Amino acid sequence: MSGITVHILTTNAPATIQRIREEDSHVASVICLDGRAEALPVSAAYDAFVRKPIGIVEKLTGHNSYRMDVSARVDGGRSWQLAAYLAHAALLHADARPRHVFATGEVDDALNVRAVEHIPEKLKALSIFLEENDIPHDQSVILVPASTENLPSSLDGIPVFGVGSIQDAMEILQLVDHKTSGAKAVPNSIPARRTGRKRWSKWVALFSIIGFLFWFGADFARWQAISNQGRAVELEEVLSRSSGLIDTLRTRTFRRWLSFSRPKGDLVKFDGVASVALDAASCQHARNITRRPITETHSGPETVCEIEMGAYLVDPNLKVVGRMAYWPYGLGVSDRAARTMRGHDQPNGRTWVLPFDDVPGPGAVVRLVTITGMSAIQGPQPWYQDLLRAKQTSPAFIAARHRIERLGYSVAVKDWSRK
Amino acid sequence: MPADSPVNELALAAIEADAQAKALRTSRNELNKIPFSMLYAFVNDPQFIPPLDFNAQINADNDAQQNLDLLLEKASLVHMPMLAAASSGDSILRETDAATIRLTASRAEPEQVYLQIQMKDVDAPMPSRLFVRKSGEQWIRMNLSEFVDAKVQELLAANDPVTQALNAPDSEVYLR
Repeated sequence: MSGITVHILTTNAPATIQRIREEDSHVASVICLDGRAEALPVSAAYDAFVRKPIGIVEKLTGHNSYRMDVSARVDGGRSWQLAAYLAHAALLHADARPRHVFATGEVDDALNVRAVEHIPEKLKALSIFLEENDIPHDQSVILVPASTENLPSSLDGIPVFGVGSIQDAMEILQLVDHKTSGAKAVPNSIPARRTGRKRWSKWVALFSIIGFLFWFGADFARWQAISNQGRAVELEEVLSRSSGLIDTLRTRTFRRWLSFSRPKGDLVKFDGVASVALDAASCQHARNITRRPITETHSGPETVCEIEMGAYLVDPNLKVVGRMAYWPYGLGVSDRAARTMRGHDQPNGRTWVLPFDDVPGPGAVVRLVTITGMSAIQGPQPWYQDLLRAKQTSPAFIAARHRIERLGYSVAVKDWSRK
Repeated sequence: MPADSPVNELALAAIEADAQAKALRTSRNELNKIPFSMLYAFVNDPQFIPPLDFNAQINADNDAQQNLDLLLEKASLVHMPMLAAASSGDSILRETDAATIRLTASRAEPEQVYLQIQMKDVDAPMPSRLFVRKSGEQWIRMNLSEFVDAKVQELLAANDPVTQALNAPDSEVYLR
């Protein structure tokens, strides 16, 4: 297996996928319990899930027969499919970073993740499992269908992601490449497609997309209006409601349009000043305070009384919003940041001023996250929870960044810490 | 001679003892016989669990052996006699006009094998039990899962008696 361990969420307890091995082609694929000579009743459904023409695993891997061993019984239904597919995909990434993936969801032949039942019960069972097993929470993710209602953002500190497709899940797990793009890799076809894309001029692409917009109808205009007004959460909900082939095609096309039109590159410049004094008491008197440009790490002996940071737009047509979070004991160490600030709008960007009531000691971190796009995001912004607390290389952060990028925005981060 | 003479009493006692001895001998022999109903259930009833000493009883009962063979012959859908097996790599294949049986070693678990049975006539009644016997040994019975598209696959341990019997080229198979 790769470094990724995949667990199938069940209402009893997660069933860990212990291993997947190839069998002879004429053998039907089986799911077995813990290495025993006992094929579970779900095996016939697994074989259909693997083998062409219906099966999607063979399209991914090029082989049509596998034996999968699981640690606990997996009963009927199809909710094991997302985990099973990801386990197969993970095998193609032997160098993937170790992590635990807890997943439930049905996967259709277009690689969309469909809704399944009993998710609250499965999450409850997972919570008990986590108490009883030594699972590194910071290296774990939970994936459930995006259509799940009242989805928590995390469970016992493990981020919970709603995924609408295998592509979403792959991107969260950083498994996206030619091997797992949904079709068996044909070595020459991928570069050819990429070269072809390069030849497209921006205008041809734009006209094509406009043609699509007319063809697909008025929803595009409505979605664009929602996007223009910065109602990002509402837009995300609308785009995840698709059902049926045409709906899926329309929402995917619009997401591609958002991705295409998303401002990219170095969109904001960060600047900042730290106000320092000899000790905490001196912070009360302006004459004792010295202002210094901030660097990534403050290692001097002085007390930092206040920090002021700014995110300035390179393109004045863009809009920026953001949050600054103060973590006195280190990034994400406590349940929530000691302070979280929205900042102040400026003509060319945004600024944040954070006077410290509790002066930063060694290990303290201030993180500034900005989200830049054609409009300023309005309303709730659930992605900040992970963007402000998780390491930039963690699955949680990457998933949150991907989530907002798919809505047409770009994310930038500035960390400041006290050594 | 009076009826209550000692000689008469002795003669009656001897007759009674002889009768009792005969009765006891007859009962023991009858007990050692396997009832036909048990043989019938062994062949036809998937829920029937034979007694632990069933094989030992069969070994000791020639009539039962003949009856069991006859029952299998009459009731079974497919008969695969000896010498109908062919080995190809990790697979052993038995084939008749009615069905194929293939044993394939698992690549993932070398101590396990896949038993696959395919009926050639998809409209024919599908078997639910397999009987296999190595030359000179007794029948082993195995219940089969439900056939789908005229096929069924079972996973067995390599040291399972059914596997070992099927591996033997001189074994005989009935599908019931």
